[in-house]
Amino acid sequence: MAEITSIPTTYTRSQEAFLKSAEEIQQLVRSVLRDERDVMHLRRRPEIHQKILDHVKRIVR
Amino acid sequence: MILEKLIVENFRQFRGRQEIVFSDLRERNVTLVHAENGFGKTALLNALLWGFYGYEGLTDDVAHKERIIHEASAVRGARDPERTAATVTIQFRHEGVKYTLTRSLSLAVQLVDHKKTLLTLEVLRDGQTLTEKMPQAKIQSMMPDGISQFLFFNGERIDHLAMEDSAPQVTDAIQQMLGLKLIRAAIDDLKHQNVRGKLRSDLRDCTSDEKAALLDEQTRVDEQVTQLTEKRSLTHRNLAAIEDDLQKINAKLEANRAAHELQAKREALEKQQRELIEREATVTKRLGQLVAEDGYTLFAEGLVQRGREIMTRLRSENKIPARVLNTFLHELLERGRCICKRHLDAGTDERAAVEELLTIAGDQHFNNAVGSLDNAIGVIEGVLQRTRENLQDANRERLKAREELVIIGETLDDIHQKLGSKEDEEVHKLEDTRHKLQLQRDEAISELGRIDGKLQELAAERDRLRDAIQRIEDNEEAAKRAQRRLDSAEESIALLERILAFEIEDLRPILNEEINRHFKKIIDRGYWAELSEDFVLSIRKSVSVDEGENDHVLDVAQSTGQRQVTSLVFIASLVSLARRRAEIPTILKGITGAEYPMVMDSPFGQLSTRFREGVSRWIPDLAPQVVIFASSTQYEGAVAGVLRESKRVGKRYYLSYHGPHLQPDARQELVVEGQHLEQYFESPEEYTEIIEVEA
Repeated sequence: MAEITSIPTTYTRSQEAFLKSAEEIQQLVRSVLRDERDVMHLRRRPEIHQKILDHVKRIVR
Repeated sequence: MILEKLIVENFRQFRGRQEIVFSDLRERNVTLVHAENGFGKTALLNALLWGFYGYEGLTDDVAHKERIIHEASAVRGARDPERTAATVTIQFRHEGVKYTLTRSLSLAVQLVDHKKTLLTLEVLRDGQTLTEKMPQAKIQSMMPDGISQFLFFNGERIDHLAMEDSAPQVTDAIQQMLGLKLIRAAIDDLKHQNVRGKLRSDLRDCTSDEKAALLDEQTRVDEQVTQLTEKRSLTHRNLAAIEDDLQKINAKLEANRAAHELQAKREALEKQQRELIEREATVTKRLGQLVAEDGYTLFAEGLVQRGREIMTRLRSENKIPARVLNTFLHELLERGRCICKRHLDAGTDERAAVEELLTIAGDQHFNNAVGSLDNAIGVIEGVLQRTRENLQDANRERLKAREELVIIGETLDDIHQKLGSKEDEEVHKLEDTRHKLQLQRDEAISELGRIDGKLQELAAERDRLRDAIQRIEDNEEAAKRAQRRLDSAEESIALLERILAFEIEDLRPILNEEINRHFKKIIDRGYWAELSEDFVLSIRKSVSVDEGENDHVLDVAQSTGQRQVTSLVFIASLVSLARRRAEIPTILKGITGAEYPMVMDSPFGQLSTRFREGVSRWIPDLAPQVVIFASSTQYEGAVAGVLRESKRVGKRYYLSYHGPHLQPDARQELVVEGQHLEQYFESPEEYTEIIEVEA
């Protein structure tokens, strides 16, 4: 357990990669992940594609 | 999740209502179900899976998946198909809340669509019972079907995880169990035709003909990538199935008296072959390193020799080392006085004599440079000599491995010829099937190589097209916007793929610590288990080659039993990390730890006595709740002794089988903790009952 709790609280590599990306991309990724979280376990999720498209169109003008 | 009770009614071979109450005690967390082969172990495991996930949850080894209702009961209930049904009820706790899940399938529905089951999920909260409106979605959120294969499994069928070509399954397991499925789902959906394809078609509609043509080409490349990726995953699955079939054939040959000796020899040789291949790969890698780091010395040999000749000549001419330095003579001339106190005034013989010395004097810088060169030549000569020796050693080792591989290959072929020509018809057939399977395996491996090569080509082609598309400037605002949107989707995909790779890579060392911690509890013989950088699960050992040299780390060619242990250890490590997931850094918010039970059919199946002892000692610590199904032969001896001693078994049941025949390896009587229990009853109708063993 100690080896895990001792990991320093600096940014992880994935956090760094995310923060280095453009604000627009960060916003898009956040929105997609938020919607995916609700439906990721469902076998049928017909609305997710339209929701992602809407996010792209809303964020990238 | 903690399982409390399972009730099966007319499900598969369970006739009428049968139930198991699982042990939920922390200190006695093992529920043990004794069952001979053919008595219903697989059906019991599938009762849980069917309960949670319906038809989709049933394992591949279930025959006639369309016949869910107990067959004789279905025949008897034919007159009342609406009221004749198979039902599975599971009571469980999850995050402090009690649930009752009931899935049923009536005969009337089974005849039309056996996949269409009726599911209800009741929640007991604050003394009230509520019914979930979307029961399947709720179950998926508590225990996604992707992780069920790692929680409810046949122990004899998990060893494929520890095979070299199982890296995709291993990374998938990490994603599923440690909450990274969310990122994978987001990537897949962004890449989907309805998203990326739609954005591309939006751009195509308003851009130039030139760009539209490139976009079409890109779509074609993407379609090929999708098809090939699916083909790759199918080929991987086929390969695992082929390996599985090969092992079964090997076991049958081993059990056959006419083939036993040759098969045992073949298995030993194949183990040796795998070790030699590994050794050859290690030596080849070492050779590559040697050439990359010190290989230049071999090409510098002529230069070194020339340098040495020059040095020798300069020495013979007394030019090195210089007897007197020009800087010293200049200093004397400048001072106008020699070290012998004579004056060196202009025009004097003394000054002329010193000036003459300047023609043979050496230069300080030249002297230093020659000294360094001499030293460097010496060093290079040393490295050259060592490199030559090391290369010769490595080549000799590689050659030896190759020669041994040729001999082993010939001996294996000889064994194949002998077994294939045996008069025993069964051996002949088994050998023939084995040979076909080996050819299929080789084809599958080649196919994977071809697919990977083609995918690399397509990835490069895709990048080229993307750059070409981006270089063409659009004039219309609508086209510019459409291009920006497509670019953003592509960038988001690339970012998420990078994030997923980092998350998995960063989990690897943590997982490795966990894997080793578990592995050490089972076996400690200078071996360790490891998840390599390319996500291959292996057992490794350190081999000392020469005194003073670093030890070589080698993969241990694993037997089926060792692979089973390694896979089990890997799954246990994932379950254990899933439990304390909240402590492990991740970019994803809201990932909490989750407890799961582990239900294992025949976890001791292919293990040797030594492993059985270790595994049974360790198994109660695998998960907060452990359910084991074991036959008499798997249980008695080491397993029984260790479990008795540990006092971790909280509940014990056995399956009592009624049927026309008893399988050859099944026993009529079960002897458990001094009790003799009749477990087989001859009967024209086949059915199984679940009976609790009283302590």
